[in-house]
Amino acid sequence: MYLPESRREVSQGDVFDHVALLSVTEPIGNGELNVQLREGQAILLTHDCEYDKPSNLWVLVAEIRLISEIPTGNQGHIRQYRTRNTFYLESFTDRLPESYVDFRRLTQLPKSVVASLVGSNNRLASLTDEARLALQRQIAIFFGYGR
Amino acid sequence: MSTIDILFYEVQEAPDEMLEEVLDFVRFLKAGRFAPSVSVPHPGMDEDEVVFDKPRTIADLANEQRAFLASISQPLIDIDLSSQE
Repeated sequence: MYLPESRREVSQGDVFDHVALLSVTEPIGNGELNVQLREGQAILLTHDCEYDKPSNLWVLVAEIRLISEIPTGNQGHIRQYRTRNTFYLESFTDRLPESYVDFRRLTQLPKSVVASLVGSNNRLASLTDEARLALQRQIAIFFGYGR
Repeated sequence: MSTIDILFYEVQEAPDEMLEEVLDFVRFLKAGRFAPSVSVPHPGMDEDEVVFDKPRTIADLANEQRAFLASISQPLIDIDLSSQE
């Protein structure tokens, strides 16, 4: 599912480490919001065509979570791509354990942040062309498929 | 230690007179009245998120995406939204 070496150019489906991930919470339900930043792994969702536009300053990433956090009975569903809100990721080197993309956890980041992650050796992997097509399909299923 | 681990421990260690109480607890869990996320710091996977009956592969998904791309008969137009930044 991964290329032996990351692509020369940053591409949709690239996996990054030490990504700033944003979450907004409403702790006590009175309209006051908490904004939290933390670091984690994420996959680039922005399409290459969009990424390459000089006028576009932003990218969209989805958080990657360890599959071991999911109850055992549901891990198989994720591995078999039977779920709507996830995209399974095989392990790849010791920095990327078996994981999944959680489409419910998206963060918008400046494109420059991605470039700095590449520069600091925090791009972990690039998906193959086949796996990128699969990722695109699963994104469409998540946003476009109701039950 | 997960909830299930604790449960097994309880079952193994329970004196006979408590067995029915433990079994009641198991029935309670099976009935879904106990939040399964207590040992999982994560929103978890709702059952309704499992939408495909059969296992799917990367190749299955990629083929569906190829079919979708092939179905787009007209070029799509992007507009420059940079003035809205």
